[in-house]
This record gives sequence, structure tokens and C-alpha cells, in this order.
Amino acid sequence: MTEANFRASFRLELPDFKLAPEFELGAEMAVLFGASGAGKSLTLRTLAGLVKPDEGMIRLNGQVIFDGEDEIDLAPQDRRIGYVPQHYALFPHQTIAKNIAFGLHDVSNSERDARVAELLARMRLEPLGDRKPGEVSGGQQQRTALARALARRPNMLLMDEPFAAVEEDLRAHLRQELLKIQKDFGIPVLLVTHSRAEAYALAERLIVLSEGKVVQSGDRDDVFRRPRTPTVARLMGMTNILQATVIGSSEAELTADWGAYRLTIASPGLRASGDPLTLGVRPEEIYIAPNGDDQGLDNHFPARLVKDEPQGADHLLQFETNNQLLNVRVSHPAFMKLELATDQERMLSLDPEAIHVVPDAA
Amino acid sequence: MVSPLLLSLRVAGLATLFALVSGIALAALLARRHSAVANITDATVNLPLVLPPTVLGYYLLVLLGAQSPLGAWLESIGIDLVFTWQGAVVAATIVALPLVVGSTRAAIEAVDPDLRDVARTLGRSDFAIFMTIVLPLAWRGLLAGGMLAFARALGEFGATLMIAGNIPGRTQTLPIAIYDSVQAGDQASANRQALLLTVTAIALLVGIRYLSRLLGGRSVRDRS
Repeated sequence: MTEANFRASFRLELPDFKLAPEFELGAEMAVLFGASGAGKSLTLRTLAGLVKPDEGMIRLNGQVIFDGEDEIDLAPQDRRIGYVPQHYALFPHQTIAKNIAFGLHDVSNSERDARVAELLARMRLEPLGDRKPGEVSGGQQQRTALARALARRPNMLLMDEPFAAVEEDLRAHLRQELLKIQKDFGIPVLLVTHSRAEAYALAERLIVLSEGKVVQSGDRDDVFRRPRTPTVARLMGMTNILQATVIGSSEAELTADWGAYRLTIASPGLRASGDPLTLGVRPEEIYIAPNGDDQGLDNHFPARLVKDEPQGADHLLQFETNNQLLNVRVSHPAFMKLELATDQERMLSLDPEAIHVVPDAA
Repeated sequence: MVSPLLLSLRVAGLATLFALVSGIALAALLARRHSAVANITDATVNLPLVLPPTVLGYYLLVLLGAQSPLGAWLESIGIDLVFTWQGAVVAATIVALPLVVGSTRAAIEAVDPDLRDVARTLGRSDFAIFMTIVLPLAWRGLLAGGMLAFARALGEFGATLMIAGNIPGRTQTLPIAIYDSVQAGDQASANRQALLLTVTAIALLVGIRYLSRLLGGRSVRDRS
């Protein structure tokens, strides 16, 4: 892990919401992920200095920018933190070049012109310098906002849902660009999103926020594959949460009772018999056996299809079994091949490797 | 000797200027504020909309007259506002002020607060942000406020009569001259003066509308 450049731990109480996140970042691409209303944007605004927390400590590159006890509260002007809000907030009456130059009031004219020219080139905005923000595309607006924030050579960059206003087709490309910019500038970038796909595509570090608190933070794959709580599991797409009881364990395997069925789980570590277990399973990792072919399947059990929700290339299915609903995702061709119809019963199977033990079952 | 029309234009023009300058400052201070001080200031500024102009004029007469400390002080530095055309400017400024504050404040509050926030993270002072971001984006509200202020100042009668009196050639504005003509039974003069005021007002309104459309063509694109 990179050494932490940035550390934040604060509390902010509003009449109807309490925000108390705690996390640290290196010079890396970090994603602050959570459902709407989790406090993501408010966290960014607090870090930028636009909202004052009630208490806590925020440090950037060894400098204290907020300390509730010592009453240190650097103004947004003095934090050197670049901020790109949702919808970019470009100044509509100024040209692209003037927008980028806006924060360069305290450098010489020649330096300002040089930096603006450099950023226009870097962001491929060169021919658009004299246009107004309303006259360029969503992707170009995004790059303008990014250039404006980077022009001051900030020590950190905050971005709130930067891809929300960009066409779907362009997003993958823009994400790659952003990753490259983070590497080039070598500063911590904290980006807010509520899209799991976006979080996965961008994050080196993933910080999961829920109801104002950081519920898990760490390496992207670690958070994605090994969520620590049922809340994180659901946010990471492990929408099937099963309650089971340990009946036996070895170094490599765990056996558990899940209602009427017995499950084998590939899980390192010994557990005492009788211990409760919370398990997470992704909808795309549940196997539907073709009719009458249930030989040699791991962890198989019958289930009845109760709902079919076509989602373009996929179908999101709901099966009822064991007094529980299971979400299962299959591709459209697979769905057609299986000749599924609601109220039919099929055999489902869980790979022992696909069952995740959620350690902190709150 | 100044003709009533010229005097009216001069008084209304200066009053508009003063009302705009102080109105913009007040609007900037009051925008998005809801403290007790802000609310009381807001109510005071808006008082001229509610009080009859004669009451306002009477207050001004008392406040600026030689008997009051303020009036005495003004007199000592050579400023005489009672029964002078400058007094008429004060009266017109005060009646026009709430119109400027109202429309400017609404226009300032309509500017996306994110713009101001981003500008702060870019290191700019609140004053610089107001001058470079807020005012240019709120100019329609300023223009509307200026137009309303000028119209109100041009038609001002009651408070002006109280503080500036009715001295032909010195403090007699066009509305007062019309009143004077009617009182004297000089209907021909009253007709002429009323027509003059009407034509002037129409010419000004058309001119400003034309000007705002010229500017507006650019602004529509700015906002897209």
C-alpha cells in the first residue's frame, strides 16, 4: 500500500443526518462509494472546506487543514484541494480558456498563459479555448472542469460523480484518461460514485460509505470479493445473503446447514460447530441445472422460479427456496436454452468457491 | 432655471445610480441570509413600498432638517438637502432602493451556489467571486432593478414634494409641475407636461428593452 498522504476523521451532525467518516489515502485513485444519501457529496464538500465539521481532524501531506480541538479550519482558498462538483459548475459566461485560468490569479501572466495552453493541450481542448461551456460536449465540459481544478497544481483532487453527465459510450475512454491523469499528477484523487461498475473500473482503493460511516475501506478487489458486513456485501453486488449454521470444519472446507439443505463452503480457518454463519452469494454465480440433469452438482437444491426480469443482455431471476428468495442472473442466450418459465422448479447449485463468508454479521 | 423635464431626468438618473450601487451592496449582503439582523435590514429597506410617500418625505424632512443632529452636521459641511434638488435625489433614491434590492437579490440567489463554491476552492476571494461570477450572471436582475428604479424615481411625487418642495426652476420636477398646473387651472400646461412625461417614459422603456435584447442574444447562449 502507498503511504498515506491524506487522513480524515471527522463528525458532522445535521438535523436529519450524521456524518462521521474515517479513512486515509495515498497518492492513488480512490473511490468513495455508497448509495444515494450515504453522505458522499457532503464528505467531499467537507474535505474541500465548504462545510465545517463539528469535530475531528483532516490532514493533507502532513499539514493539518482542519482540527476541531485546536480550532484550525483552513478556508477552501488555502487548502489547495481541487474540487469538481457534480455537473462541473463551469462558469457559463466565461470561455473554456478563462475557466481554466480562473484559479491562476496569483501567478504571472506568462506563467498563466503557459499553464492554460499546456492544460488545453493535455485535455485535448486546444481548438475550444474561445468557446463557452454551453457550446462544447459533456466530455469536453468534464475535461474543462478537471483542467480548471488542476491548473492550480492542487495537492489533492475531489470529483463528485464526474461521469454522470457523459454519454455511456464515452465513459470507458474518459475513465482511462482520468486514471492516466492521476498517475501523471501523482496526487490522491477521491472520486464519488454510486455506480458499482464505475467504482470497480476506477478504484485502486475503495471506500464504502453507508449512513454517514465508512463501513469498509481497502484495496478494490479485497472489498469487492471479501465484504466484511452484509451491507457492504449487498453494495458490492452480493445480493444473496444466507443465514446458516456451522456443522463441521476443516482447514480447507466448512460444512453448514442452511435451512433444509447442507452447504460445503471453501473457506480457510476452523470454526466451532453450532456457530451462526452469514453467507454472501452473487446472483451471477448461482448455476441453474438444465432440466433433469442434476448429477454431480455441488450444493444443489430445488427452487421455484417466481420472477423473471429481462434486463437487456441479462435476465434477473428470482427463485424461491428454503423460505427465501434468491437472485440469479443469467445471460439471455442461457435463459433461452434453459427454457425457463415462472412457477417451474429447477435444481440450483452453488460452487463452494462462490460462497463468501461475511465475517461481521451485524 | 432648469426645465421640469430636465430636472426630473437628472433626479431620476442620479437616484437610479445611487440606488443601484447601494442596492447591489445590500442585496449581496442579504442574499441567502436569514439572521435577525438580515431580516430587520430587509424590512427597513422595503419600508418605502409600504409607507405612503408623504410619510417617508416627512421622516426625511425631520431627519435631514437643520434641527436634527444629522441635518446640522450636513449643514456644517455645506450640504443642504431640504428644499434643494439634491433632497429630491435622496427621496427618489430611497423609494427606488427596495426595487433594486428585490430584483438584484433574487438574481443573485438564482446563481448556482456551486459556482461560488468552486471559485472558492480555486483560491479567489469572496469579493473577486462576486465581481467576476455573481454580478455578470445576475445582470438581468440588475437591469430589471435599474429600470424599475428609474421608473419609480421619475414618477416620484409625495416624498419629493415634502423634502424638496415646489420651487419652479429649482426643485419642481415634472410630476410636481403637473400637479401645480392642475392646481392653477392651467389645463393646457398640464396636458403638455403629462404628454411629455408619458412620451419620455415610453422612449426610455423601448430603448432599454432594445438594449437588453442586444445583450440578451449573447446571454442566452451563455446560459445554455
